[in-house]
Amino acid sequence: MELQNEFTVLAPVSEVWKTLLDVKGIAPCIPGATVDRVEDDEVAGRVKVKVGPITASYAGTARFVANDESAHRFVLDATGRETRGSGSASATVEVQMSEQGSSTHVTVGTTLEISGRQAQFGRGVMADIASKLTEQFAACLASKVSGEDAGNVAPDDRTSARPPAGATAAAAELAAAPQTASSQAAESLDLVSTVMKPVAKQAAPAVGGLVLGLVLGLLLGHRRQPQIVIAPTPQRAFPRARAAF
Amino acid sequence: MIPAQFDCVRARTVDEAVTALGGNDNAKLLAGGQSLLPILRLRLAYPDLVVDLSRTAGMWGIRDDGDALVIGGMTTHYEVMTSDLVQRYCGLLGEATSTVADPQVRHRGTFGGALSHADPAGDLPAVALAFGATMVAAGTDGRREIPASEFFVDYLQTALQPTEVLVEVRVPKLGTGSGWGYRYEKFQRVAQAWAIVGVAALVRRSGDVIEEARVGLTNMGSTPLRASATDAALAGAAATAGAVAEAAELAAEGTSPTSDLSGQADYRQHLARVLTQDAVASAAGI
Repeated sequence: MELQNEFTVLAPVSEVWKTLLDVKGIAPCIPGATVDRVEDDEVAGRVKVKVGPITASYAGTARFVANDESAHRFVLDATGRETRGSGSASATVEVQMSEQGSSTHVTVGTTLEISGRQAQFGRGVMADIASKLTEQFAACLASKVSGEDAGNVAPDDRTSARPPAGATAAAAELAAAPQTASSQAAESLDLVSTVMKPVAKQAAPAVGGLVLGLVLGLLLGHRRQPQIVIAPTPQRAFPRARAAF
Repeated sequence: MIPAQFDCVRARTVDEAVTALGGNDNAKLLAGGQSLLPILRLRLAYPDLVVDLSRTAGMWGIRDDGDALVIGGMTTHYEVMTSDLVQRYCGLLGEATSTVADPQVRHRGTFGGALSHADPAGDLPAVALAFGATMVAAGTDGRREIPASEFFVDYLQTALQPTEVLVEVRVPKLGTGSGWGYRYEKFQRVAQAWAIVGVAALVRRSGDVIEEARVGLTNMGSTPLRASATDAALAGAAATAGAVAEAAELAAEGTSPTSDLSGQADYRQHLARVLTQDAVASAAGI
């Protein structure tokens, strides 16, 4: 599945570049993510995504396949495997930043592929999870940038940073972040991409995990994506499971 | 497929269940098991502890409590849909429950379980919302009441805390005996499938005028929703097909349904309008 996202940060491109490429600094912004190791251009980490009773944990790595500071562009490859189960996820994230006056416009293109049970999840049970994760990340990123840059982060509509209902510990800090609240389910994908890009810069490993987590969410939620393997079996299993509990 | 290993506690009382939940931060309640067991078997969830409510006292049955029916959380769908009390006072609930999945699921699945699972495609959350039902949850600090409008938080997430049990649900008597007509319209591809979109309508009519309407929407977002714009347009409207059609045009206002193999978002919004028109007209006896 292909995702395209963009957002604007009210900070010079050099500042944004630095923040996003600081893997360890940005990793805590990724909901459920843990960075295990950072080596040169490779990051290893884990991501845990929980929605109601459903849990998915991925461990994997992210690697910079391109990192051109002069052109303000980087490309990240992330792969991960389910820590329990046999599913896997991979993503290629391409981030391009451009200077617009005193602010920075960031575009993020993501290609995601997910396999395994999560990908087979028939209905849109988790359709919004990726969006929620992205919102949390965007809010966190915004607060980080503003912290480092005198409160100048202003995500535009696509990166609105709204702490989701049922916010977790991570989200609590997010609440302090400058926010615009217009996120819709339809925008969640954008948010995901956005999140991924910034993270990727410095948190490549963590990004990998994030990507995986997001991918997971996306897979679970958005079966319409042609690259997602859709197996009929869960589709049947869930209708039988129906509203019963 | 075989679920991952977990411990199981069969709670005899609600307090026991609450205590068990409090003693494990990765515990899950088992009611009828019609959603949880498939999730476990698909290994989409890995609880360390499952707290079984099947023998828990005080969570079963339907009783008349003045202006409401009180339905125990472990009351099965079959019991709800065949209850004389439900048919008399909360007909919409019985009608919607009879569309839940298939007979096997309805004999095992429970009212409280379906609400707690909070699947946005589930039929009963939107019905609870239309009724303005009240959830009674027991936790470590005793019992508290949660209005349906605050109960459904997000996909598969409710206002219930990890240590809380949905003990019973108070459903106001909005039935034929008190002047309410009702209809649950559900659109699905096969009989036992989840609703692509569902519409629960309660309408109180006086002569040629619709006095009040309460419309709940299934699967039109990450939680069940009220079609507030339609409700407002119907209040005091003429009980005519034209007025109902006009109000139904507003049914999808403010919704952002998901897109999946069963339908894209705009298709779901179209369905919401069409089904609302049918449900309200039927409920109003038009």
